[in-house]
Amino acid sequence: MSTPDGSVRASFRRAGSALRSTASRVVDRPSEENNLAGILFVVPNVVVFSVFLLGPILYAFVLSFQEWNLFLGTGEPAWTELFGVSLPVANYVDILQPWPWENNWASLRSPSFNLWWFAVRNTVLYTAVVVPVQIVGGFLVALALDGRIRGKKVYRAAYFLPVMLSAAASGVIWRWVLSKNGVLNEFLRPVGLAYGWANSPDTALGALMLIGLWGGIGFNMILYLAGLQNIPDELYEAARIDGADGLNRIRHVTWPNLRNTHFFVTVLAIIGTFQVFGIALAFAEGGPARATTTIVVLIYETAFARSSFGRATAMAFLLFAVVFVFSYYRYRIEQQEEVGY
Amino acid sequence: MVDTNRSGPSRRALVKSLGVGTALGLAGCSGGGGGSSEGADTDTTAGGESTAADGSSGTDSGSGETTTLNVASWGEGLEREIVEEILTNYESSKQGVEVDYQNTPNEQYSQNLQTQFAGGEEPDVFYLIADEAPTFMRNSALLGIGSDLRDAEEYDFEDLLDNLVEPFTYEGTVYGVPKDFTPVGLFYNSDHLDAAGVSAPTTWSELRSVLEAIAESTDVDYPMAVGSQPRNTLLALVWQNGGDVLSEDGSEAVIGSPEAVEAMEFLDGLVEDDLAGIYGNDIDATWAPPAMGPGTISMSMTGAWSVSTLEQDYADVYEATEVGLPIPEGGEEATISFTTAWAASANTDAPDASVELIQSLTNAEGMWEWVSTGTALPARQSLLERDFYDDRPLLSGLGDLAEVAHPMVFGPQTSTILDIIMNEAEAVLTGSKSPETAMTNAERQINSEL
Repeated sequence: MSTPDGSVRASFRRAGSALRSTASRVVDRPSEENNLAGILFVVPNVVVFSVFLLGPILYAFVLSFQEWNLFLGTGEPAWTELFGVSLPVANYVDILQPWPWENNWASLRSPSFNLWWFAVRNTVLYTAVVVPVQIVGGFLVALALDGRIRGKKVYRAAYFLPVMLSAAASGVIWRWVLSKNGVLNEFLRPVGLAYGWANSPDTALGALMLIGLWGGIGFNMILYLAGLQNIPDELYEAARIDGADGLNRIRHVTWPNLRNTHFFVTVLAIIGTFQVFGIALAFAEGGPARATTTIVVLIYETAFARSSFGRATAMAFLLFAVVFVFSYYRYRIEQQEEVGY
Repeated sequence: MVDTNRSGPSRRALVKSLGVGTALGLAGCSGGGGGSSEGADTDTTAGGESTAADGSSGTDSGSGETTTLNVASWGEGLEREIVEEILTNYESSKQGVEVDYQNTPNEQYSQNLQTQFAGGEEPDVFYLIADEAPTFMRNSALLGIGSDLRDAEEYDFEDLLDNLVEPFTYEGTVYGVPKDFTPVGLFYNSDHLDAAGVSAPTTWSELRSVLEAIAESTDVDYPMAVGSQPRNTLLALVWQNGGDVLSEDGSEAVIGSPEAVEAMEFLDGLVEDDLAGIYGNDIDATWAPPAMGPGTISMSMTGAWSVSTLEQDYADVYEATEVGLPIPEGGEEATISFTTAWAASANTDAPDASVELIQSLTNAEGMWEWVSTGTALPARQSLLERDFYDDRPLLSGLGDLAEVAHPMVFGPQTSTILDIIMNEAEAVLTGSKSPETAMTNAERQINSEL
């Protein structure tokens, strides 16, 4: 009489034999039926991806080389002479020229020379400030809320709340807070520091950064909190045994073990900040005097206020190139740091 | 085993980053480009012919079939009610015609209409603002309606004010009929002037003196208010001072002229000296009635759209408000006018019904139904002369400016040109540029667009 254990072993043997047989059939004789089944499984995704994502992107790419007539639904190639050759790249040339150095970098100081470069300047400044502060801020808040503190669920919800708010609502709220007669100035007026933070070209971009940080820190906090849960306690115990104090445990255990989270957060933050749009539009409509005109705000205005869809799509692909380069190099750095076991 | 980096950036990394970049990098932008991917159906139906409709539009009536006209406008409250009422009356008076009305908020209207055109889903009959008309007309997007309306019985086309029809005329064809208009004038609270012991200003220097007197003698926050992008003010001042935006033949920009710079300097001087505050910045209100009504300001350049709100919400201030137009010494009387037309799509499946509907909306009866609310002035001379305006000094005062009012239309690049000028003016009023630099910059940018 076979024991229960023996019966289980026999079952595993039978299952293993069946799997091997199936695998050998698949490997040895990849039949047409199997290919067909695989293709059928993939088709819905390919169709949806092609129709709703790849197709429009490719179409937009074609559009970026054309002078598009919105009303007739037709486009003519936008030709221009480049290096003595006639090429359909007039949209790209018109966007990029004059190059910033050709007018003594005036394009980066004033929107009156080349709006694209001014929008690039605004976006890069926004990214350069918001990304690091958002990441470090998110990490520090996550660290604080990962410990044993009273009411941490309330704090977590409070920090995450801005993420759930729409960009339009955030923009309107912050305009109300930061305008000349806004809430903030009610506190600053008695000490003589009242100022039109949202209405001055000197401070509007800074105000926009504040909104970006307000929303971004809570989002990054959630990602870091998830990352922190995955760090085994044994590593902290080992560090303690080795005599590491709190700061060293963060430096040598927490920070390196969050490498994947850092990567994810950084890529998302860079892409998100380069694409900042909703809050900029709702907060100040790209103003005052173009101070908050970011690249995507400019794309939107070019397409919908100036009806230049060809030029707007060309701008979109220039933005794509920038985002791609950042993402690609971030991947390379990540890959070089990667250690497999 | 250590996973070595064999050949620089791996294919997987490239594909991964391409995927991330493509999906996320374009996520915010593909809507703009991809959204316009469907070409508009450019087939037009000859007048009177019927074609099968594949959308909600039907066919011209005559064979017992129902024609559905899609009609679009902006406007809330009273304006919406009146438009809907006219459309309902039209629908019930015409057998075989149904009207499907879409109302879009003013802020999104223009973008929405363009997107509808791009997708071939535009309404048959719709509001068209004057400064956008050149783009539509140049691109053959509109149905030529002038000759049909001139020939129509019981429709007095000649009664329409010529300077209001002109923005909707292209190469001799009329593409839109103005539904109303309003010139912009200086609304001032005469009680504040009396309190300051001054009379209504007729020149720029008098205006400045009056503002100074009001600032001293009353408790207003600011004597006057302007927009940070002074669309209702700046070009009126430029024209009054002998300047212009484009040269007479429209081939080059002249907004950098000394006359235009002087106009910008005058306005900037008022703001710098706190004689004029900026709407939405120095003053919470964003337009004239909620600023004039509670006495926050004494005067503002505004138009007929402010009249009914002043009358309904701030009756005392309405009674005390008068309208004028100060001009520079030796300058010329000129101001801005805003007008909107009813127009029809060139692609409509029901051109006859569309023209008939426009006829109903803009004949003396249809136009009066709307303008008798006092929110705008009629685009018909006969209606402007009605007794109705004798008891309404603000509206009749604006009506007196009709002859010197110009629409802000500067050819097919109108939107871009206005955008450039107003952004430069905003830079001046927020203190980041001098008037001369800003106007010279505007001239250079406009020339590069032309």
